Amino acid sequence: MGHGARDAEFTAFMAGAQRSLGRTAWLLTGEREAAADLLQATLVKTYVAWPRIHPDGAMAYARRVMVNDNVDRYRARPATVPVAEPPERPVPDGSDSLAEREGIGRLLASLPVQQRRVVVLRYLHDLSEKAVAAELRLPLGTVKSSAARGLAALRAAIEHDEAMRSGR
Amino acid sequence: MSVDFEDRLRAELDADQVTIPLDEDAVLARGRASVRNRRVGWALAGVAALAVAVMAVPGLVSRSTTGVIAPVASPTAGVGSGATVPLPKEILGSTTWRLSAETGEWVGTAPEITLVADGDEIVGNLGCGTYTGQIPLRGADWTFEASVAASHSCPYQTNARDTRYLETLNGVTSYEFASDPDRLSLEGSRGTLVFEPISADGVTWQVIRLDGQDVEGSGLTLVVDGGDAHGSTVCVDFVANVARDGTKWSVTNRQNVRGTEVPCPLETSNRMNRYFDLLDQVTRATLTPENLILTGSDGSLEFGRKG
Repeated sequence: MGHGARDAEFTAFMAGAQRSLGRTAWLLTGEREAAADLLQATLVKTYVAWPRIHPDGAMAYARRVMVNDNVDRYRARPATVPVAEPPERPVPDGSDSLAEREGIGRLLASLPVQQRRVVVLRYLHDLSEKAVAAELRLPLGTVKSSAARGLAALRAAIEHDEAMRSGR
Repeated sequence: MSVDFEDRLRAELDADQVTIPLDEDAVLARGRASVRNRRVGWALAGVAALAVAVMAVPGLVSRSTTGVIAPVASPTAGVGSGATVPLPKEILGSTTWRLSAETGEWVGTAPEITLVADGDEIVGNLGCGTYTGQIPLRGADWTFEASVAASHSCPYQTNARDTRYLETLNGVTSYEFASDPDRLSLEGSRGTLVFEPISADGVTWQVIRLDGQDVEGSGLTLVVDGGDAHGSTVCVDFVANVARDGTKWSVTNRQNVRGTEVPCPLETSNRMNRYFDLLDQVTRATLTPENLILTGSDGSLEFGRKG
């Protein structure tokens, strides 16, 4: 496949995948610029592998590359130039959603990376525990315990947040 | 954990509609560059011949000898000797190499470029991002695949140096290893890359990031000395064994050697226990001149030099 054909196909893929992969990157890193770096690095790897994975497996491949990457590396990378503006979000409509109050991504970012990966795959991408284990190449028991710990930590954070808001 | 909370979490995740910017042109440009970088041939005949020499004369790679120069061969040359061990892996060993000069020019400015053997691969840090490649087996090619940071956040000079480095690496056809002090030179039509070793040994490393969070003055330290390690926390000191094979590390037999005489504060104790949890499950190390990052299945520890 020549570069022209590959580029055309891959550009179409990027257009369709950007939203889902971008949100996954955001939830894994909790930082906008880190998420942009992770998204771009993931897509570069996917581009390289394109002849092998195209067309049906591309999204799953990209997601697998992303969740298995060392996401903390992007958060710690010293060469990053800080970006002043916050993530582009819809204007809150006044509801009481945690995502609008503080950002579930920032809460997720406080979890250990493995718990973060498991929670994102399990509850954002709705994969079964078995599928998550296969995607992350982890024992099923590890996935279950990571999910349980991650959920417990998130629940505690949410309850703390709500207690603070109610003045208790 | 209740189903209600799981459903709520799904709804929260679904509601978090953040938009992450993407430079599609940069992805395509870097993707093309990575594809080009994979089409690289190394001079296997010369490498294999040198492998025989080094394997037959162990003293050649000791610290007390100098100079092993491989004959240069074309990238398309066949395998000329009966070598069975991929020599570059032997030369690279478990050392992390730092790029110190490129075609006679010193390039040791931060962030530094590194190279280290990782099983049958080499991995390393670029100024912006990382790269991986295959150590050539007989008759195979070296291939490199860069995983680089987004161009919009990489300073121009650093990005240009990364690109030049990968291009030069792809043009290498021979190498020279000298010892005392150790120097590894990779030479080719596009220039010469000179590496010097950096070591995690003998340095007092202090945790500066734990679970991705900055921790100033953590008091959590680690010193590696060959196969042994020791360290301290605010509440207890410890000793352990360390096994290393390139970037693959494991810490075993950790034992406390001193208990605190006063009650250990809860927060300090929790941090110490988390440190130990992560230390015990370390599988991988990334070393730069200033930092040591230990990664395991449940998180990572980032150390900086103490003092």
